[in-house]
Amino acid sequence: MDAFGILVERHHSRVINLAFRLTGDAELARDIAQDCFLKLHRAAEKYRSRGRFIAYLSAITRNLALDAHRRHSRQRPVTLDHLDYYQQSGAALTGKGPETPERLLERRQSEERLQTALAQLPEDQRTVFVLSEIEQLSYGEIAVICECPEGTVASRKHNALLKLQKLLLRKGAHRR
Amino acid sequence: MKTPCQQRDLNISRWLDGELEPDTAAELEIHVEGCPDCRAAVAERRELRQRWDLPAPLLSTSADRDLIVDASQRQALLKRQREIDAHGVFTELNRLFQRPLFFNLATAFGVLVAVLLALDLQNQLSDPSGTGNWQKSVPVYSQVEYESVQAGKKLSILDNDEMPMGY
Repeated sequence: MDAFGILVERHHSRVINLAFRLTGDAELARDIAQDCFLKLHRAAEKYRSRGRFIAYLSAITRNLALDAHRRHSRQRPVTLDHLDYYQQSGAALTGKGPETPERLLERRQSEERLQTALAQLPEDQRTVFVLSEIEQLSYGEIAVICECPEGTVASRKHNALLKLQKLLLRKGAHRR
Repeated sequence: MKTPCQQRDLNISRWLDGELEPDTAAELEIHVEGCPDCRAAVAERRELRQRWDLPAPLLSTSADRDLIVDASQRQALLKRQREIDAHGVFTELNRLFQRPLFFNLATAFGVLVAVLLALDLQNQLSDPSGTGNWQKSVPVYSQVEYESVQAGKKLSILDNDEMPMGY
């Protein structure tokens, strides 16, 4: 396997899941991941290390997800039936041994709730939230990706949290 | 108008993300310990965080990855083909000379050694004695020249009055 193959092996999962969180569409996420790596391959000669590679990859994914979102302007309903996540054995997912159907169902519901809540956030807040909470990027890295000041990242993240708090916990309104 | 605690709310998010300056973080931590509202906010934020502590929803399959690697190889071949179509042999020569200087020098030295060895081999083939005088010591005569030389030797012997010793 060549260097590019190793890179795909290592980061593919992260890219498809980031694309899925940003678009809410599994099929589209797979297409975005493919485009992302091909774009990376085309630009490999021009790549200069100016920070974490993950941040660079996340920036490409985010831009492609935005483009794809604009192309598919009509928001599709969030459906998780096509996710292979629920068709796999729990052991493969968590590494903690086989899971019961009840546990898998619970996970499915949690996933559905989260994805539905994310779909209700404005695009800029969703991007910041996903990059920060799920991709674990720093505010500085997100600021570079979103081309905005770190203060804006902090406020978008905060607003996203307040909305999610309302949507997922049905509380937190007293703080506004 | 926001209360001081509501204003601190933004800082709580930054603090939990580890994005707050150490001095401000220490100050906030002291405040949170003594403020029930802020303590509740921190607890809520931590509870919320557990909601997305889920395994990745999509699995990366080897089929997906192979598809990408295959597509990248096709893409590289197409790019190369386009370059060759656009610039022909000059692109290939350019690619050759884009190699490191050391590589080019080593290649030039190798070619020079090969030429010298070839010349030396040619010389040895035409001079089996190895004396370097092979071509000088054996004059090449045509048949007519050879015969006239031989005839001249005979004549000189016959014309000589003083016969050599032993005759």
